[in-house]
Amino acid sequence: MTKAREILDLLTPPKGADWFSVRYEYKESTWRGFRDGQLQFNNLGVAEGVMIEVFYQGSFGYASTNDLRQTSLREALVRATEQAQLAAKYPLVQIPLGAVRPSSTGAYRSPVITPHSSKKTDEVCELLCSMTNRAKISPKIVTTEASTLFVVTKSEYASTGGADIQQQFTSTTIDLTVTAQEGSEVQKRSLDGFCGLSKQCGIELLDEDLLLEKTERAATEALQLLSADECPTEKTVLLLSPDQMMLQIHESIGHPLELDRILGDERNYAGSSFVKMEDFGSLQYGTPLLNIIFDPAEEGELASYAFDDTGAPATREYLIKDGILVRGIGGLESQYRSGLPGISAQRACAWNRPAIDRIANINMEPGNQSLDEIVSGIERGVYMQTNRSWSIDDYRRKFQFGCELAYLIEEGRITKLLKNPNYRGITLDFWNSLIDVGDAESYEVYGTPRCGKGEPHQSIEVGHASPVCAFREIEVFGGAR
Amino acid sequence: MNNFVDRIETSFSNVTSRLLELLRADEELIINLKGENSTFTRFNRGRIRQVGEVTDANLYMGLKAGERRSSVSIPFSGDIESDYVRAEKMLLRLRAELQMVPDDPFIFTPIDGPSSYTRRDTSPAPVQDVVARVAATTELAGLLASGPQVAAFANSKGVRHFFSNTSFFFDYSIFHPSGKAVKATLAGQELVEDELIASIDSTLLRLSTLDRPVQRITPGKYRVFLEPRAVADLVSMINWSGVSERAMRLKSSPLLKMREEGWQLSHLFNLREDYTSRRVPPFNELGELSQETITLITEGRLRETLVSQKSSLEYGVESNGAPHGEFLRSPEVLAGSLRKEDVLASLKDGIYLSNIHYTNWSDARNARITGMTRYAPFLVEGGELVAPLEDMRFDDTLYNILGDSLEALTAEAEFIPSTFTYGGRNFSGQLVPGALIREMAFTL
Repeated sequence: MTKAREILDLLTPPKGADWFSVRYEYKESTWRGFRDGQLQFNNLGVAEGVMIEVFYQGSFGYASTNDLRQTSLREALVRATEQAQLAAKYPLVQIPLGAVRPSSTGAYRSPVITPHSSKKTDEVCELLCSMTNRAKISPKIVTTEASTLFVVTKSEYASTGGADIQQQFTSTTIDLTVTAQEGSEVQKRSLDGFCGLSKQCGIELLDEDLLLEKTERAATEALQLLSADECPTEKTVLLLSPDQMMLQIHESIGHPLELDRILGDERNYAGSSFVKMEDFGSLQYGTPLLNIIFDPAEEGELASYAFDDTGAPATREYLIKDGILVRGIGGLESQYRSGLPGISAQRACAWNRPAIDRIANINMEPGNQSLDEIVSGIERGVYMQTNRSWSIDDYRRKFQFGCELAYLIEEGRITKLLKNPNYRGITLDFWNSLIDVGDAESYEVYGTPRCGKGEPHQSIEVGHASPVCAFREIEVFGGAR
Repeated sequence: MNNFVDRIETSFSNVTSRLLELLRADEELIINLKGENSTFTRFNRGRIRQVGEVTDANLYMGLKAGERRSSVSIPFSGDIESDYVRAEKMLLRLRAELQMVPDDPFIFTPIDGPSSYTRRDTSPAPVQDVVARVAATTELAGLLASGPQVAAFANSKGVRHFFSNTSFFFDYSIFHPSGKAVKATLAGQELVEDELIASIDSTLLRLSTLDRPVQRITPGKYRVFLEPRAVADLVSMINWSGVSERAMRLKSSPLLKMREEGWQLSHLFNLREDYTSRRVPPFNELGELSQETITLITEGRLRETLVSQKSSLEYGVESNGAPHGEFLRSPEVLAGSLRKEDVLASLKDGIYLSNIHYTNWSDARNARITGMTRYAPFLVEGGELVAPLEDMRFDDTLYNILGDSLEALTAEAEFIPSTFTYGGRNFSGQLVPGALIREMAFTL
């Protein structure tokens, strides 16, 4: 029997409440970091708590606590009922329970080949130390930081309606940043961007030989960037690597398609969306090359799961098909409120936050051109790699991104390295200028544990996979003069 | 006094005393606690979208033996026995970790210094219903957060700190049918219904200025006035490693050129940390009490950075009690001389910005920021508000915005409370004036 079910069974349904649920979470994390051969932190983290949700006359209320004594849990149930009664007094919308809280049962476990526990603290420390030392290939390398984050989360959900779900998520993140300086010029290079190398897996991600090779390459590139030309300022063909496509998809497809955003819930903080409810089924979001999927079962992708935190089963769905917007990122509540199709997407970052619509694994389907074929077809363009800066307006239209490095493409060949590459655009114009999509060879899976949204705020893991992609007539530019 | 805070304080005192008795001769321990008992009421269209209560506290233990250290964070419930059992178990785990980590040549040293005690918590007041009732007549989206927060510290040298406060913030936007909005925040220790109504009424009055048709401007450089909230967002960018000693040494501070090449901001710009308001706990995670004020930028020149104990050891500079992350906790930008009633006339022809949004570095080494306007940017002509504007992207450097182009700061500074709730509510906030900018670059 799960802990959530145990807690549910010991609580008596409150008077007047039609239903309640228990979501229990236990999370263990270890975060270790080195800088220039020296340990910076070795932090262990344990988090454990329960959220009790009550349904009362068409409204929900919650109370969450990390005090798991029976008396405290009973008090939490009483407080959750009071909150639900308050909500029922001033409801935004009255929701039929059956439409939004299914009685699902099932389980999920991340695919782990070798658990975190098989790598001892000293072994992880040795790896991180080696990585930071390996980067020191020149006196111009001023500092190198490397860290690992291992997380195991046990999440259980049970309801008086019969839901009984048990999921266990195991993730590994490895991060590296190399900083080089010459005079007033400072450049950084990382492993696939901030926390970009994040997967649901065990320590199999820590391939020492591969990581040391990537470290040396990062250091070499950081040095090369010191004397590279600035990215030119022009409108040109822009080719993006998968570790930049990650942010492009996230900010200009993921967030604008969140149904709760379209319904106005996020207007005071994260913003709204230019997408309107009537756009679903008809809006030409991009060229016919654009196919975007919600894939909760992509092997090892960071936001894979079998059920969201309302118990909705997760199934693979197209969000954009042949360039046409077909489905939003919205869980059962948003689907009911909007009348639109959605996905299993209502998640909470932890036991002490309520579930809201969240981006999960949102991926670009590969096309059928290799990277070499795409490059050879570009007369003049810029090939940008690895995100380092991101900004977009509150309707998700006008964006600007910066990358760690770029290459100039001239007459079908990659010619020279460029520094401080940035580009800006407007979402629909941008995706409607998509001209090439790479094949499965260039398809890479990334994720980040740090997507922020919600009031109160929540930071949650998301996944994005993509091949290389090319866009025409995009405004690119370099650093300040 | 508040029951939650009572419980947490009693358990913290009991658990820390017992834990410290378990230490071996060569061991030292620092213990931090952070907790809250908050209600969160989320609004959309003036009605309740989600509502609930969070009771949460966490204990952070840092163990040191010789030159080795390790740390852990664990739940802390206020039940003495379960809190102690968990902490004791973690102490054993930390000991095992210490066997496997290398020496840290810049390891922390538990301080021997003064203790402090501040309790400003109260019993919970029924703020949720009051706000829900007043909000229900408006097209409002926002968050009401209220309840007590607590922070505490203990170390093996006998230093003890305790800080608790009951407060609320109501951070909201009221929307015009055009989609534009006016944003406001009401915050304090006690919510007074008359003040809430006054805030809503004032916001609705400003909203009526959005009845005019939205205009669009072309990319270019414009004269700009930034309200205090927008200036606070620029200070938040500075707080992104800008005045950290470690960031300077590791070449990642966006204000590095101020240190290495003598670059300056405007002589009108003065930035300091100011703890005299007592809004935030005065101690850091090592239990060090910060100086009452730390002057960071004086008349545009970088004078001092935030120096933690670790940076002090690593770089041989004097610590000023900064937290380990060397971020601002209670920043103040000194006010200027431009009176609020003269702002529009002084702006004359330009853009009036109440807020900016989603700022990030487009070129950190040159402190160049990109971001968007948001809510109700206004076109001003001849000193009069003419029309709301379509949102624009800006891309410009701090050395221009708060440097060469900074013409004036308002005489009235405003306290902008932190509404940050990632991982938990925050104590901090900023005291900042508005800023008149000669020219700022808008790009899209």
